[in-house]
Amino acid sequence: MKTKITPDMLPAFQGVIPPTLATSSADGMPNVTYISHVHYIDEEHLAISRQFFNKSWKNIIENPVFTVAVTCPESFCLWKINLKFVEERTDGQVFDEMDMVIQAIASMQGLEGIFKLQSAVICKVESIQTLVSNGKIV
Amino acid sequence: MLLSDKIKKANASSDFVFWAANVGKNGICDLTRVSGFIIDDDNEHVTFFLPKKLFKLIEPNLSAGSNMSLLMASLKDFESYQVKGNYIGHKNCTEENVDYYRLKVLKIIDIINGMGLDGNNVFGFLLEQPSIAVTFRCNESYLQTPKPGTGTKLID
Repeated sequence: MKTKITPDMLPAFQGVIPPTLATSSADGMPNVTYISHVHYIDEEHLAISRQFFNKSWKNIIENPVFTVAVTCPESFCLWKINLKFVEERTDGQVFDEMDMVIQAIASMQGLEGIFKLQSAVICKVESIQTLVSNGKIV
Repeated sequence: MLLSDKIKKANASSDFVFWAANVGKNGICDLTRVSGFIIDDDNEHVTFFLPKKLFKLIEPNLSAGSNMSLLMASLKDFESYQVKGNYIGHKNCTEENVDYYRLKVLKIIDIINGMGLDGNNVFGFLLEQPSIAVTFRCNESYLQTPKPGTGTKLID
C-alpha cells in the first residue's frame, strides 16, 4: 500500500468523474456521498471541495480520518485513499483553483449558481489502495 | 423503517450505481462499489451483492460494528439516495442473485458504451465471481443528490 500520490493518479483529480467520500461519526455511523472535486496539492496532500456536505463535514470535525474513492477517467483505475483532515481554507491559491474547477463542473451540468464552493478541505494522504486496475479487481 | 418509494424507484431504474460502506476499529470509514441490491418483501431489509474480492474490503470491519450505508446514484444526473442500517448477515450469492444483478450491470455497461467509452473496462469488474450477498436492516434513508437540501431525511 502506497502513501503518496503517483503521476498515474493525477487524471483522477481533474474533476471528470465525481469522487465518493466516506466519513464516519464519532459513534461509528458511516456516511457516503458524491462530491464534486478532489484537488491535487502535492503528493502528500489533497483538498476536498466543501459545498453541501453538512453531515460529512460534521463527521470530519468529530472524526478527522476518512476515505475518498477516485477514478482515473483515462484508465478507469479506482483508488481508495485514506485521508486525515488538516485545515479548512476559504481563500488563497488552492481555494481559487478549486473554485474555477467547480464553476466549470457546474457549467457543464447546467448548475451555475448552485454549485458554490464554501471551502477547500485540506487533507494529508495517509494511505492509498488500488481497488481496480485494467478493468479487474486488484 | 420502511423504505421509501424513491429508493424503490432508484433500484428499479437502469442507470443507478451503488456503493456500500462501514467503519473499522480505527474509526475509518471503508467503502466499496456494489453490483446491485434487492429490497426484501418486508420493505425493511436490503440485500446487496458484490464480488467477494470487494467484500473483503468491508468484511474485517464487521467485527467493529454493524452500522452500514448503501449509496445509490444515477449516472445521468447524480440523483442520489443513501440508506443506513445494521448488518444482519452475508452468504455466497445464489445463481438467482447473480442473474438478477448481472442484468443490471450489463445495462450500466451499455450506458457507458453509449458514452463512447469501454463500459466493460469501467464496470465489468462488478461481474467478477465468486460474489457475496450482504443483508442489512434499514433504519434511515436520505436524499443525497449533490444540491442544496442534500442530507434531508426521507420520510415517505
